[in-house]
This record gives sequence, structure tokens and C-alpha cells, in this order.
Amino acid sequence: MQHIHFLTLSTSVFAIGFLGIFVNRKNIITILMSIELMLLSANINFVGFSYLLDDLSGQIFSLFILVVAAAEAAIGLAILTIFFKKTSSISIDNISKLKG
Amino acid sequence: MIILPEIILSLGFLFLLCISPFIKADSHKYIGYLSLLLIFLTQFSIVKDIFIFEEVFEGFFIIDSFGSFLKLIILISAGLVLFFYLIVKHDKSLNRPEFSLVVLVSLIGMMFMVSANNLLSLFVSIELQSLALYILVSFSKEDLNSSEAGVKYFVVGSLSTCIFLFGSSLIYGLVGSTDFSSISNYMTDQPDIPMILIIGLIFILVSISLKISAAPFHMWTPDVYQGAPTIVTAFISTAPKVAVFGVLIRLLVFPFGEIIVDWGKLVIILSITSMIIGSLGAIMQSDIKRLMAYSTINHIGFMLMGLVPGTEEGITAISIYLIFYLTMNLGVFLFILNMQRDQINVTTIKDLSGLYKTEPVMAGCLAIILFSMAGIPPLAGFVGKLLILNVVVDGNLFFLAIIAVLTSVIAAFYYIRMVKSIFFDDPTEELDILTNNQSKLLMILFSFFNLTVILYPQFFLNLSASIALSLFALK
Repeated sequence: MQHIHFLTLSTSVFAIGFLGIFVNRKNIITILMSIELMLLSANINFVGFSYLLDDLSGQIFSLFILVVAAAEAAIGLAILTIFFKKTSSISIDNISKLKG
Repeated sequence: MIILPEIILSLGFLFLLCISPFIKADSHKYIGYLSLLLIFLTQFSIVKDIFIFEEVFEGFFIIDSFGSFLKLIILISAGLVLFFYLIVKHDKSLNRPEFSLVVLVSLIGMMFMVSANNLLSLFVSIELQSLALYILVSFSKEDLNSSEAGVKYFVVGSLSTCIFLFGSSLIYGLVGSTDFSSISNYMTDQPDIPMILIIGLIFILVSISLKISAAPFHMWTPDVYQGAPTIVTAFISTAPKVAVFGVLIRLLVFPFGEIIVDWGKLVIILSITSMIIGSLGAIMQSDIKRLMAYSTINHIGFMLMGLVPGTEEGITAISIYLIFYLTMNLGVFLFILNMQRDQINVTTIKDLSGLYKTEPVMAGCLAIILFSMAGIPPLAGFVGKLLILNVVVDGNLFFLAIIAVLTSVIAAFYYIRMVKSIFFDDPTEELDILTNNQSKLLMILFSFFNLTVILYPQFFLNLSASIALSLFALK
């Protein structure tokens, strides 16, 4: 029953990240942090299963996730910078011009 | 060299990236035309070995006719969008060489996506594609709507990535490998499938539904379609949709084909909600780009329906529908791109009123394409809808067919409302529309294709049937 431990951890980290996106109503940086958390929860799973199964491909997968997470954070922050230049704020309440 | 197309595209992209800073004037035009040339070259190298079947890089990628066919239509539609970009006037912020280059990056991602044969390679190529699309959506720095759409698209896209990763980690833990054939073997060996595998599949299905904007995961689509620059909307509603749909078909048919009873119900739910939301949501819209977003959701729902029986005929019908969907969508977006008043793009339905009096040829072409989208015989859209309904009825899914027909009738209302506005309303202010001849010629070509497809359906049927066959050969 070794896998229960890290599955509990990763699922709760995933849930925290998921709730962070939907419950949080303050600013976009928090959303970026929540996304990072969710990516890391998948990483915990991959590394844990890789250890249990004695198989390297899970660890390689998690390295790829780290690389992609970095690229994604860079692009997310860049988009946020453009948005900030226009509105002078990063509050979620300002992202409501497009609707209907 | 079996992966020659990808090599040509990647090296060509790097070459263009290196020379772009040294072109002084009009660099976006030069880079744009060179990118078009590159796409042509790639197409030739794909056509050369379209019937080859081979696994490359230790089974990380698979080259088969299904993938090659999807790559061809992805490249053609992306090439057409680049051509639109070059012939239509935009605001200044879009006139940068990076635009074509980022389109090329996302093309590389899409080409790897449709041939991925491992969850790892699939994940990396989906990311390559979507990271490029986030940049494209927020490309217009002057426009607040564009950056707002960029933020929304980024958040939803990253959420979809996280969900995909969590699902694939569960599947990896159970199967012990991320290879598609190992997953398939695991399911054939196992007498009863563990629940955790189904949960992993649901995660992956949700993530892909977020990307193809199938309801109830469609919330971002109207906002992003409206906020993004029109040329980008034309791009994200065509090529990436085809690529992600290709991935969905490949995943559901090959590694998860054994548990069709489980995913069949989910796809039915996705398809019904997409068709209903796609048809009802558009009724009150006044912006054409927003309306096209709902129209996309409706079409996606229709295509998902063809997956439910899990037969070769279903995949054949979907491939044909994808081709017709591309021609219709590109036609409408080419028209929207040309809707300008005093050098400013306008996109509301009211602006179309009385177009028939000023531009009779263009009004006729747009009307033909809109009728085709509504599925009025004998146009292309009707042929596609007929084929998919045929498959669904063969699979004894009568309630699904009835819902599809009813929602198509509702959807026809908003297409025909646009046609009514063009032909019968009094003109408010004149649009300076379609000033260049290339756009006119392309519009006539698109509508001609939609009009005459009924004369040679056998060509498309044979083509798609051989493609579907190659997909089922793996099983």
C-alpha cells in the first residue's frame, strides 16, 4: 500500500491548485501559482510511480514537465505584462471586457 | 528519410528566424512569403510517402496515412491563413516577421501531435503547439481585447495541460509505460478494466475537450475568438482544431479502443451538449466572430457524434466533415478579414446589411458558404452532415440523430439571419469591402468548392476510407 501515501499527497496538491483557480478572485499571479502546483502534483505522481514500478520513463517524463512548466511560466508572465501595460492592474475583476 | 517533412519545417524555421533581423524594410512580407514556400516544400515531401506505415524513434512517433493526411490538411489550411495574412491589410502591430514564424512553430507542434504514439511525445507536441498559440492570440499589443483574450486562453490552456498530465500519470502508474501499444496490450490482457484507468481516460478526455472547445468545456471559446485579431481567429479555428481532433481520434480508436463502452457514453454527452449550446448560444449574438465561435462548437459536436459507433465509416465521415468544415470556416473568415470601414475592421452583423447592393458577387459567395454551414442541400455542409448521420443511424443511435437534426435546424436560423441581413436589409453605411482581387478570387473558389462537391463525393469517400483503414490496421 505504498502508493497510497504519494497518491494522497499528489491528489491534495492537485485539488489545492484546482481550487486556487476557481475560488481565488483576486489576481492573476495566484492563478499562475496554482497552475505550477497542479503541474507539480503530476510530477509527484510520475516520480512516485517510477520508484514503485522500478522504471525510469516516469522520471524522464517529470523532467520534461519541469522544462515545459518553465516555458509556460515565461509565456504566461509575458502575456500578463502586456495586459498590465494596458490596464495598470492584474486584478481578475478587470478581465471582463469580453462577454455576451 | 521518413520524417523528412518535420525536418524540413524545423530547419527552415530556424533559418528564417536567423535571417529575419537582417531584412530592413517590409520584413513581415518577405518572411511571410518564404514561410509559404517552406510550407509548400513540406507538403511535397509528405505527398511523396503518404502510404508509408512505420514507427520511428523507438515507437515515440508513428507515420501512417491517417497522420500524413491530417498533416496535409493542416499545412494547407495554415498556408491559406498565411496567404490571407499577406494579402489583407491589418493594423500595424500585426505587421511583424514574428507572426509567420510563430505560426510555423505551432505547425511543427501540430505535425508532431498527429503522429505521436506515446503520452510523452504527445504532451510535448501539444505544448509546443499551444504555447505558440498563446503568443498569437495576444499578438496585437495595441489592443486591450487581444491581451485579455490572451490571458484567458493561457489560463484555460494551462489548466487543460495540467489535467492531461494528471490523467497520464495515473495511466502510467497502472500500465507501467506511456507507450500507446503497451496501454492497448494492457487492456486486452486484463479481464476487467480497473477504475483508475477509466479515471485517467476521463482526465485526458476533459483536457482534449478543453482544447477542441467541446461543451461543457467551451466557456473560453467565444471570448478568445472575439478578442484575438481576426487573422489569428481564422488560424485557431482551423488548423489546431483539426490537429487536436486527430489526436482524439487516434487516442480513442487505438489505445482505448477496447473500452469503447466506457468512453462512448462520455462522447455522447460531450456531443449532445456541444450541439445544443452551439446552436442556442449563437442566437442572440451580434458579433460575427463570436457567432463563429458558437458555430465551431456546434460543428465539433456534430463531428464527435461520428466517433461514438467506433467504426471505420465513422472516421471516414469525420475526415470528410473536417475538410468541408475547413473550407467553410476559411471562407467566412476571409470575408470577415475584408470587412473594413475607414481602414478599421468591423465585425458586427449589422455591418453586413445591404451588402448585396454594393457587392453582389461577394454577397452571393458568402451566402453560399453560410448555406453550406447550415447544411442545406446540395452544398458541401449537407454532404458532411449526411455522412455522419448515416453512420450514427447505422449504429442504432436514433436519439442522437434526432437531437443532431433538431439542433441543425436551430443553427440554420442564425446562418440564415446573416443571409437575410445581406440581401434584404437596407444598407446603413457602406463597407469598403474586398478591395483586392486575390481575396475575391479565393472567395469564389471556396464557394465554388462548396457548390460542386456533390458532383464528385466518391473522390473524398475513397480518400478518407483508405485513411480510416490505416488507423484501424494497428488494432
